[in-house]
Amino acid sequence: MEGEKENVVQAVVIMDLFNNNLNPICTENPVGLLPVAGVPLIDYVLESLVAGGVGEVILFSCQEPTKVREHIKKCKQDMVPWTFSLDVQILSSETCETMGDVMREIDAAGLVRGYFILLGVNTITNVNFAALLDQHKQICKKDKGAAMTLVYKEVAWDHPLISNNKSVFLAADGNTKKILLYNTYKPKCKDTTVSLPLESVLHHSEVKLHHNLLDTNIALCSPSVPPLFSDNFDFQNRNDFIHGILINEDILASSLYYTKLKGNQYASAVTNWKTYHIISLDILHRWVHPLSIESGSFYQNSYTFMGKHNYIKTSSVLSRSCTLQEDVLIGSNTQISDMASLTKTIIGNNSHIGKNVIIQGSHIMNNVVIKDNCKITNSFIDCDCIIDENSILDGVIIGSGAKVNEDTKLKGNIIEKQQVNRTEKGLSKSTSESGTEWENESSGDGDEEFIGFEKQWTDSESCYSSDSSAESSLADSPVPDDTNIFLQEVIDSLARGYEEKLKCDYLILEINSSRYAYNIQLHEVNFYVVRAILSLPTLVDSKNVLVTVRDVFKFFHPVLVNYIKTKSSILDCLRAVEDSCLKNDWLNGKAGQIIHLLYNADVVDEDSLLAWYEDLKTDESEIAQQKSLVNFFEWLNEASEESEESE
Amino acid sequence: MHKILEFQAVVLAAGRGSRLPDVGGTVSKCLLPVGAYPLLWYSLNMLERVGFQETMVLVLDEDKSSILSALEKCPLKIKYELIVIPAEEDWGTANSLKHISSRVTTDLVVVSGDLISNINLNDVLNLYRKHDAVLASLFFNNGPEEWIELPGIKTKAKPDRDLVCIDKDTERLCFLASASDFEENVKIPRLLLKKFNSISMFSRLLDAHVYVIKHWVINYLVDMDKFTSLKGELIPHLIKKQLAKPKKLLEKKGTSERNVDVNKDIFDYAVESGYETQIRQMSAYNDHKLGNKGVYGGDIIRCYAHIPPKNTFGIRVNTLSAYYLSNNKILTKWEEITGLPLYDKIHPNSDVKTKQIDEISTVGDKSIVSEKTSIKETFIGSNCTIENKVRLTNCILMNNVTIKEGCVLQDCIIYTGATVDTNCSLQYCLVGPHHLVPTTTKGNHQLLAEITDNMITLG
Repeated sequence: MEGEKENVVQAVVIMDLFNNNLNPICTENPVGLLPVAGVPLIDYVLESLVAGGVGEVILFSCQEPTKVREHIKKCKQDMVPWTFSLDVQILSSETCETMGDVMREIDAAGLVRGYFILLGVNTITNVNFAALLDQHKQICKKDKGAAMTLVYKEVAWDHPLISNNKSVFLAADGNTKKILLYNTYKPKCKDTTVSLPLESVLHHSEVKLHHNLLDTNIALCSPSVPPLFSDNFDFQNRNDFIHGILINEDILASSLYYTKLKGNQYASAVTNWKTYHIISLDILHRWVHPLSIESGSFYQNSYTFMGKHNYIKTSSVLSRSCTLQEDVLIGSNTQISDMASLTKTIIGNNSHIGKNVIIQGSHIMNNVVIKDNCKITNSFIDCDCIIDENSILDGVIIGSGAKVNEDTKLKGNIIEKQQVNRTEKGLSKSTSESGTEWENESSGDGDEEFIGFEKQWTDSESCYSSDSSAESSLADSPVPDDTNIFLQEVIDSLARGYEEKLKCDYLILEINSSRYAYNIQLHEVNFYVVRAILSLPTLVDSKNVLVTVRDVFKFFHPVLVNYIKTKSSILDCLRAVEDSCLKNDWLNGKAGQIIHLLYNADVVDEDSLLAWYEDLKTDESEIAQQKSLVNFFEWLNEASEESEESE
Repeated sequence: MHKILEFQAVVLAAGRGSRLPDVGGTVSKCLLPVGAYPLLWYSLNMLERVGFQETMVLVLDEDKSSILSALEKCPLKIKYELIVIPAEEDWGTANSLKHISSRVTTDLVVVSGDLISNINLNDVLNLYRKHDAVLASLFFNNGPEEWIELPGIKTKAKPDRDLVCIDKDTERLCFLASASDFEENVKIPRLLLKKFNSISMFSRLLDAHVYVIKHWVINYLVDMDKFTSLKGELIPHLIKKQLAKPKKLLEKKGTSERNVDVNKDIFDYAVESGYETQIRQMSAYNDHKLGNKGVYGGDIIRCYAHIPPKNTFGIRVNTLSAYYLSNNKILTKWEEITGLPLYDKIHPNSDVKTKQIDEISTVGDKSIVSEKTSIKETFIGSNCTIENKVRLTNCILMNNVTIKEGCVLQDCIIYTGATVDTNCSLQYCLVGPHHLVPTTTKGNHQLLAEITDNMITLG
């Protein structure tokens, strides 16, 4: 039984992209449920894993894991083919913020038995995973340190999947395929040269240079990969991992390899709206065979093939006068009215397309109503939207449940439900910011054949990783998330340490590890440690706060001394006191006493205190007027004068 | 035998052997004996094997007579015309080519006079023909250089290496530079990587210095008048120009009226005479699989590189180690390389009295080897005299060398006309031409020659 289990190929699927490239559609729903050509991404992944010889899958979900669970449960009820041979485990952790965190969780849970396949939920492929993993094992036999084999698909440089992604530059040993250098370039990057270290070039008789590889987001991993993530807190994603390994090859005793997919194997990753569109069409064009619309891999095949890559569900209703030019997919119970013209478009279920509507290169989900005379190009319209008459949408992403009023003209906008009533004017700002940037970049590309394709989508580029517009929709929180979590963790650690009377050395270690986990700067650490000490729960409940504060300071003296050493850290500390006194009710009006306690404990020195006090006055801080503080500084001045006199 | 009019051949044999150690006196590189014949003979033989009936040979003025007399003794059918380069001028290879430009009427095969190889040159010519190339070159992939302990003073200087980028799918040569041109990082245009799909950068290839070049390149070379070296300047220039596109007609017209000559660029020379472009457009052939570009990516200038299989023998005798190696190996591969039956190792006119001579050693014309000598793995040229009680191991003796009684020589190279007096014991030594090594000299890793001032400081 044991031996059998060891032979089962394991795969880890990371269910999140950890970026906002597919916003706003994927802000509420997990990326795995985003339909590509009518089928959720997760179904492609699971189906391809089964076909590729994988027996056990760990789905790691950070965003909305319940929805993923429900989906898998439903698949099992429906007896979808993969459920018979695939053992699916769903893990979730709401705290993971990066792929690195996920790997560390996996390491901690010890779920991976040996060699495994690591892929993102956004990968669509028909490769034979088991064979690839065997290939990686062969490499590991030759090189014990081989940690990961990256899987790439070779395409021409002018392929749209390359020009719309960060392009990869790879230098590798020509004989062993060991990666020597790895770089990514932004699309339309202006760098004209690539530089390679001379030493490594001379050291290898043949160095392969690749700049035309498509990252498939598939990696074949050795058992050493999760521990490597655990050992290196700064590895946040796969690129960090690759760079970290290449730079510290000797220290980490690990190396990376790559492999190119052969001939007819297809693999690509949905990374943004442009690649989403390209891959959707690839699926319609049957590149991903056997994962295709008509092969029946997906549920019961009820599509009718109409020629020119047009597919319609049998229950859909098409008017006699509508035209489907090419690459059109229409879901069940969808109605297309008279004179509508569709091309390179995917429409979900129960939607209604009005008369004289022209739709090009767009994705329309379920229950969408598009009224008469609309013109929609290169857009994504999520479920339950209503587009009123005579609207012209170009490169627009519309979140679910939104309504677009009559005669609206939109270009390159992102619309979410709550924003619907905003006027055009308000929206156009975000468009211009991100749109122009892309237009600049797209100019000067000289390849005729793909331009039509590309141009269409260039206009909609604003929806591609448009940070500016995405951020604007976020609520403005007072403190960035990471630091807040960090503060809470430090408070927790200290409270526990205080209750259980733990050694301060351990607490320092704990604080430091939290620090690295959340990427906190040193001066912030100083600030938040003091802030945490003054926010301990014991203080809140205490009847005599000052006595407790004294005890706390006494207990945590080693911690304080560890962090508060230099002038600048003392100022951090004082600022934290100021902040705490303002924010924490229980310390109200006690700033002077607290400072006094710190002064007595030799944590802060006179000069810094005076400098800080001057700062407070010039900044007109609220606590500068506090009586306790004023008293304290009077006392301090007197004391220093006395000491001077005595000298 | 039909006459090949497609190509003219030129052998560059005016090299001074600057990479060989200075042993005092003059030694012309192309006359260094390798096996039974001078070095130059091997390149001529290689041309002859693929059917060339005549070739030009560029030689230094001072060497002309000695080369003529040396080649007369060798079996050659190919007609060779020696063209003299004035000795006082320090010309580069490109200058030399310019010198003969008036005689060049067809595409040109440039062969270096120091090449010994068993390659079938047709492979390179066919690559050139197949793609209608501007340049086809030849690189040997011999693997790491064999390490041998060399005679003479030990040096730490490392041989300079070429960095060569070749697109494996199309055999296009897309980058050529010397490793010494770079300090820490090698910079390569990204455009190259975008254009070619499977570029490999080689750092251990041996450039055979066999170039097949289009006729117009010679005209370009003459008109531009800025190149001195073929390998160092002209070839990299051509390779770089592969990425360039000709200027638009309109742009050029404005300037060309004023001064035609100054504004002539390489694309004014690279004009196709017939219907090549149209044929290429109508053909379904494409040289690469991926992407949507037409054949050759629309490039007008195309450079190619041929890498023969690993077991091909190829060596350029331009360093001491290469010379030493070539002499070690030439006999074992004699028939492959020359296409001739192996000659008698011990020349019929020689007089070998000793029995202690192994099978690998050779003795040249009119040489005398006395009794009670032991000779192992040693090459002895013509007119040499080896006296009694001499032991030679792994040595090269050029012509007219005298080794007197009781000498023990191991791993030495004795240049033409030198004499080693009685009871010397030398290991890893170089003996310069016409030098007399005094009696009972003992040496290890030394240069024994008519030492110039220069040499004293070095030694």
